[in-house]
Order: sequence, then structure tokens, then C-alpha cells
Amino acid sequence: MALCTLEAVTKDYAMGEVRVPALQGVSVQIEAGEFTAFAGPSGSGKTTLLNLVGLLDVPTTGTVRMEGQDVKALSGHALGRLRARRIGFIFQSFNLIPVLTAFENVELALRLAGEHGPDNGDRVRKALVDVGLERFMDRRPSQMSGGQQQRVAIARALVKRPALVIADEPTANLDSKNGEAILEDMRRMNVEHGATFIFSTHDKMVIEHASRVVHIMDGKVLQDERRTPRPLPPRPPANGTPGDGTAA
Amino acid sequence: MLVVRLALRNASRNVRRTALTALTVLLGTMLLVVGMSWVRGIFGQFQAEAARSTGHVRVTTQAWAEREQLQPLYENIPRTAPLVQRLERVEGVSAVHPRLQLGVLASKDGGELGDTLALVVGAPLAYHRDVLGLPERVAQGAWFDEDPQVAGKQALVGRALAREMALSPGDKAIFLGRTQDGSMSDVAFTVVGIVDTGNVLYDKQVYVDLERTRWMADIPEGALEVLVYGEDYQAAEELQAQVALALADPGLAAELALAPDARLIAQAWSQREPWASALKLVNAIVGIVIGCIVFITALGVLNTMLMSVLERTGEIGVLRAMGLGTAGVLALFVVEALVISTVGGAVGASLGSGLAIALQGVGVDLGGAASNLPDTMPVNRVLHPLWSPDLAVSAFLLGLVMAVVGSSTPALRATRIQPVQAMRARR
Ligand SMILES: Nc1ncnc2c1ncn2[C@@H]1O[C@H](COP(=O)(O)OP(=O)(O)O)[C@@H](O)[C@H]1O
Ligand SMILES: [Mg+2]
Repeated sequence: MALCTLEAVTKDYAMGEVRVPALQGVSVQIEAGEFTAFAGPSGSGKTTLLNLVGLLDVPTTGTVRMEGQDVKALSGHALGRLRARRIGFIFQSFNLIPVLTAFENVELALRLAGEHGPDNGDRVRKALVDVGLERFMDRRPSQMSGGQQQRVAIARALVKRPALVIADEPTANLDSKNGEAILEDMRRMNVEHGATFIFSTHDKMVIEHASRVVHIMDGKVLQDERRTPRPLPPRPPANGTPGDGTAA
Repeated sequence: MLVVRLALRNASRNVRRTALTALTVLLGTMLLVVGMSWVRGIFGQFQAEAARSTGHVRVTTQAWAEREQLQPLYENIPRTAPLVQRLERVEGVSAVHPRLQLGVLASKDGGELGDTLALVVGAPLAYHRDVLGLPERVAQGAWFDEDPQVAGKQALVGRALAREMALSPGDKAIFLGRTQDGSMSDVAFTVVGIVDTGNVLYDKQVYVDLERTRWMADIPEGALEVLVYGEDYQAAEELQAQVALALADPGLAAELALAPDARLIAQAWSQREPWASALKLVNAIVGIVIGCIVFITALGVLNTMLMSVLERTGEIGVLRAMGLGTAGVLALFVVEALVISTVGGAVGASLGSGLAIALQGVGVDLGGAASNLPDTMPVNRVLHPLWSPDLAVSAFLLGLVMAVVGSSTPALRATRIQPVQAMRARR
């Protein structure tokens, strides 16, 4: 069974009197373990598509299934619970909670997923160590570089072991070196933990990391290609790369 | 727990805005403490005076109570001694005084006859002494003579009346009144002292021994009213029930020589007009004023909290995306407002208490303004607020109400932020 299925999905936005057709009949199946990029120029409908896959929004017509279940049948409350437990989010602008430390931001995701076990602390610490942030756990977002913030976001998305991680242009606000590092972190989570990733991008370099690329144009799927991703470099030494603390 | 921690952090996030919210609540609670202590001071004083001057519970004939403005002197209680004796034995009663007040035309001996209208308060000297506390109020002259024969012909005159009639201690005054069957009756008194009661009503009265007004009204053993006092005037209605029970004795009417159709009634001060209506009115006004203060303060809280909600739209979207429910979002903002107003309310209640206590010591002198008040209002010339800890506590709790009321609209608005907002969030 596919992890996530979109069947003939359309999405219109109302802009006053005008209807903007953002998606015009998209059908895609995402299998568990994939590392999929939605690629396309700005305005092509990538974010709209991720909103649907991430259960943040509902389609105008067509069907979205998560683990076989038609999400149309679910209430807003049930969708929220499903998101909290099964889906992790990484955003273009990182979107950490500014008043919480790195540790607390990650912990928040676990708590919202309904996990209150005694090992929560260890799980949070492990998630942050996995992205090389063991020395930054008590920092607030404003005390970290963009690259570090996005790593916290990765830890936050993955700490609850979600079935699916959604990332909307995760590298768009980072320089190329940090962007590359983030992609490698995500890829490592994909390989080591088997987490399924769907991310959007319009960056050629980023696409090279994907095992599958769905090309989007004007709200339609132009091409769906499976490819061999660029090999992962060996794991970098702990504590991130030098210079990480200043960029952003 | 999680939401509480987040709300606490959010409260310390924008220091200026939080300070503004706290200040709003601070001012609201402060105003409440000061305002409520003034209301309590003024109306408490008012009520205490009313209860003092008219008895915590008053026993009269029903006919007198119904038409007392017309002074139907024949509706008296012909013999009061047995009634006083019985009432003194009632549980909770601390003092019982018969009283016979007469409206008279007063004139200074040698002056024109019937210049001035005055009220002569005839009661046992113990009433003037213990209930009205007049011995300490003698501003000129002296207290009644030790010899009852002499004292019976003496009068203490209120300051305002003495000034109006140009009376000094030692002067003779003539009071022209009526007997119970309507004939004219005049009595001469020697002014023994001038009393400055500090109260507008009392300063216009004349105080004499009961026997003298009995003689004047030709009610040799009776009185118009029997005033009953308990320990606490606030408990007057419980006392009234006890007194009414004592009056129910069927043998009593004969002992008191009441006319066959006469009935006695007991009324607590708070059950009598104008106090019964005034109390309701005051409570209504206080309620409205408190409501207004809470409402205005809540509007201030609403304003600042709404700014926070609008500013955090993206962040709330992220929390919604991560699965925070509607209740969680509501709680996030209500708890933040509660945290801020706990601090603001505590400081406001403390500052308000300080101010009220300071004013309580000083008081505000109404001066000339008070002397223009109607004669029937026992208003003191110097007004004091009356603070008590429960006022501070209520104001503090109302501060929390302001927070909940003020933050509910922004919080509801926050619940309408959709999870998709997370994707659009930019900083
Ligand atoms: N909330 C919205 N209201 C109106 N139009 C929207 C909204 N969101 C996106 N659109 C429009 O839908 C189209 C697809 O947008 P989007 O999914 O954001 O594309 P991308 O992420 O590829 O840049 C664009 O034309 C955009 O202007
Ligand atoms: Mg986009």
C-alpha cells in the first residue's frame, strides 16, 4: 500500500471574485522510504501540493489518502492528531518557536504527538545529536545561525518517528554550503531511519539528492522520474562545521 | 503544562507590550480598590449612622410607621416600660431606648415666637450618651446636670441650629409643639451645651430628656418608638426576627395599654425606607461601576493581546500544523493574559490598598457643601474611605476576570488561524 496517494486532485484559491486554479488534476503516489522532490518554478503549485500531502489543507476536488485512509472523512481535530503523530514539517523559514530553546522546540513536537514517556528527554537529545547540535540544545532560535535552526527543525520533525516528513523549500533561506549540509542531514535520516521525505525546491543542486523527482508546472505534473541520488558523503564530525555559528 | 510554559515565555517576550497590558490591569484593579473602599466608606458610614439614629430595630405601632411624616402623636405606645423590660431580655439585644421626637417651632427666649423649625429628640440620657456619644461632642457649655430635676429642664442644641438661632449655653429657648390630642404645648429649656456632632442631620436637632417630651406631648408613660440595638448593625434583620417573636405575646397589648385595634411592628433599619431602596440603588450603582471598570480594562487587554495574536499568526499556524488543538490555542492566550494580570492585579491591588489606607487616615472634608444637604440625611461632614483586605482580594480576582474577558476575543481569533498559515509564515 502506498503511504500517500493523490487522485485527480485540484485546488482553487479564491482571490476576491477571481478563482486561481493552483492545482489542475494531480495524481501522485508516494511510497514509504522515498526521498521525493517536487520540482518546479515559483508559483507552479509546489507548496499547495505539500499542503495537501501534509494534511494541512483539503483539495477542492479529488481524493487524498494517507496510509489508505481518505482524509475527507476526517474532522479538523482528527486531522490535527494525525499530523501530530504521523507527519513532520520542515519549513522554508525554519519557523521554530522563538521563545523555546532548541531542546524545548524538539520536545514540543513529542508532547504534541501525545508522547509523555520517561525517555522523552533522551529521545530529544538523540535527535539533536543526530543533526550535530549537542552543544546548542539550550540556545534559542535567535542565538543560532540559519543552518543550525533548520537542523533543529529537522530534529523536531523526526523526533516522533513520523511516517512522512514534509519540507517546503528547506534550503531556500540558506547559503549553498548550509543548504547542502541540510540536504545531507535529511538524506541521512532517510537512509538510516527509513523516514519518507517529500520536499519542494526549484534548485538544480538540491534535486540531485532526490531518489524521485516530480516536475510540476502550472499546477500539473509534467514528469515523474526516478533516479539514483548523489552518494552521501561520510558523516561529518560532531558539532557541525566551523563557521556554522555565524552564518544566517 | 506545555501550554502554560509556552504562555509564560510568551508573556516575557515583548516587554513593552506586556508592561502595557499589566499596567492596564494594574490601573483597573487600583481603581477598583480605591473606588470600592470609598463606596464602602461613604455608604457604610451612611448606613451605620442610619442604624444608629433609627435603631438597629425599631418597634412602633403599625399606624405610626405608616404615617410617621404626619406625626400622628396619638398613634403612640402608651406605656413603654414593660416593653423595654421584655426586649432587654431578648437574645442579642444590647440596649433598648424609648424615644419621643417632636417637631417644634423654636425660638430664643425674648425673640420672635416660632422662628425656626426644629426636631426635639426626647430619650433617656443614656441614649444621648451611649448611642449618640454626645458627651464627647459638647463643643461649648456642658453635659446635662447630675440632678435629674435640673437635667430635665436642660437641652443640648446642635451646632447648626444654635448658630441659626444665635443660642449660647445659658440661654433660654422656647419650643412650641403639640400634645397628642392636638392642643398647643410650649416648653422652655435652658441651653446647657452646644454639640458639634460632625453630622449634618444631628447638628440641626435638640436633645432633651424623655420625660420632658412626654410631658410636652402629654404621653406620660409612653413613647412613639422603642429603639433596639444589637452588637452589629449589619445583623439587624436577624435581630428583627427575634424582636418580632417577643412582640407576638398576646398578653403584651394589655400591659402596654394599647388601643384594641393597635398593633406593634418591628422593623430593621435596612427594611425601612429610604434605606431599603437606597441600599438596592447603591448596590446597583456599584455593580454598574465595577462592570464599567472591568469592561474598560478588558478592552485594554483585548487590544494588546490582539496585537500579539496578529503578530504570531505564522507561529500559531506552525503549532496548529504540529497538532495543537483549538483548546490549546485558546489556553495559550488566556493563560498568557492571566499571568500578566496576576502581576498587574497584585501590584494594582497593593497600590490601591496603600492609597485607600492613606486616604482613610486623612479623609475628605465636605465643608460647606454638606450643610446644604437635606435635613433627613445623616451625612458626616468628613468622609473617609473604608479599606479592608477582602476589597483587595476582590479587586485582584476581578483583575483576573478582566484578563479572561479581554483575552477571550483575541484567543478565539487565534483559533481561527489555519494550519496552512505555517507554510506561509515568514520572519
Ligand atoms: N492563499 C492563496 N490565495 C490565493 N492564491 C494562492 C494562494 N496560495 C497560492 N496561491 C496561488 O497558487 C499558485 C500556486 O502557488 P504555490 O503553491 O505557492 O506555488 P509554489 O509553492 O510552487 O511557489 C500561485 O499562482 C499562487 O499565486
Ligand atoms: Mg512555495
